[in-house]
Amino acid sequence: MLFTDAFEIIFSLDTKFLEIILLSLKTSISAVIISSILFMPLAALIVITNYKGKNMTIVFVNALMGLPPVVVGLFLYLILSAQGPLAAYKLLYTPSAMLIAQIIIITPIIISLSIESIKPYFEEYRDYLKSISISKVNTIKTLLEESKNSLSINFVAGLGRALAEVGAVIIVGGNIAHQTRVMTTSIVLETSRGELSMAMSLGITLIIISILLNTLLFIIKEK
Amino acid sequence: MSYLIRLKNISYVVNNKYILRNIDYSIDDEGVLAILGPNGAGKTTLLKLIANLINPTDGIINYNYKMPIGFVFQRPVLLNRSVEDNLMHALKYSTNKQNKNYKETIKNILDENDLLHLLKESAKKLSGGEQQLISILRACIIKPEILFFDEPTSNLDKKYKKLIETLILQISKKIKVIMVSQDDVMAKNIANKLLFLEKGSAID
Repeated sequence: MLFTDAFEIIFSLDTKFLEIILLSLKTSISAVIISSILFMPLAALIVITNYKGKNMTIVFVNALMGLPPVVVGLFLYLILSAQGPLAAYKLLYTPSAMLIAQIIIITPIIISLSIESIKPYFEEYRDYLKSISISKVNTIKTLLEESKNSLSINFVAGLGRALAEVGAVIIVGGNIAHQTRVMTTSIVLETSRGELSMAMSLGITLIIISILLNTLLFIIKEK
Repeated sequence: MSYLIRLKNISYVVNNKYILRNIDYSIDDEGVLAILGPNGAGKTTLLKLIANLINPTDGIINYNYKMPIGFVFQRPVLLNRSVEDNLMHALKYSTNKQNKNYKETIKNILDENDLLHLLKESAKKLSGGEQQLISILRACIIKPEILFFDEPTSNLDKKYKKLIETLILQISKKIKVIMVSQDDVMAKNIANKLLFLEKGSAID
């Protein structure tokens, strides 16, 4: 009965249901795009630059991958709330706050995975790139182009993580209907209200998206 | 005759092991120098030091040439893109700025070497011999002052060995060539100067 109702909600394409899914996809995809554009080149820069403390940087970034999302949410809440330093921007309980939270959570994953993806390409091409006396910027550009398949996998992994995020997003987004309610926060709310069909329909959708993302990952890996 | 590279008491150490030990040598700016020696003698390391791709542990190297250089590796190091884009990459990103007519330059160099049919082919899907030929053309297209070859024919069949040997001979008439080889016969055919290495030391 529960499953039948859940699938009915999915196939009815209910506006409330679609709104939640679209907002989830919009914030998560935006967060991964922003994080990838800003931090994949940084990962390449870390790979090609030799500096004191490089290993420490990598260890630190790896450690940040385990950052508890609720703690990120709490810190961001303190920064964005009425008493916080960024209160003037009135970002708390907006999709922008959720976007910032997601970027903070997925960026260490994007950097760490990208360092591992780019490293073998740099080892392969280092001597060639040095021989043509290429600039640092173009070295980074070349490495990003050559490792684009592995980086796409990192992109999809980051997206999966962003979509599954609930702790930070519920704190800074507030789970407000029609404004900041996404799939995960909605599942929490509907379960607590006993609206299990709605919670289940969102859960199933989240799993379907996850399966689609993993299929995409598989296709990219096979290419 | 002036010196292109001067090695003064060069040593190269990895994990407390001497790969090269106290090498003194001067390389002039004409002809072909072949570095010969058995496996593990330190030939590739010496070539990379001379090419300024790595730094010595001890000693000084005076470089009297300007980057970029052309370097052809033992195993072709081509980017995962078409032949045209590989050559384009070297032309566009090398500090040796050529005329901006990149596509024409690429077509000409491929045509001169009867390789124009490979223009749009994926470089990594070519045969080993074809990949090595493209590597050589990529090294030449940026018009370097000096060209380095690290055992360029070691993994190739007879047909490509001959082709590449002829190509290196042609190139050496215009550009200074330094090569590493285990093939004494080929090296002696091409080079007018030989440097022998054994266990990391130069021998007369």
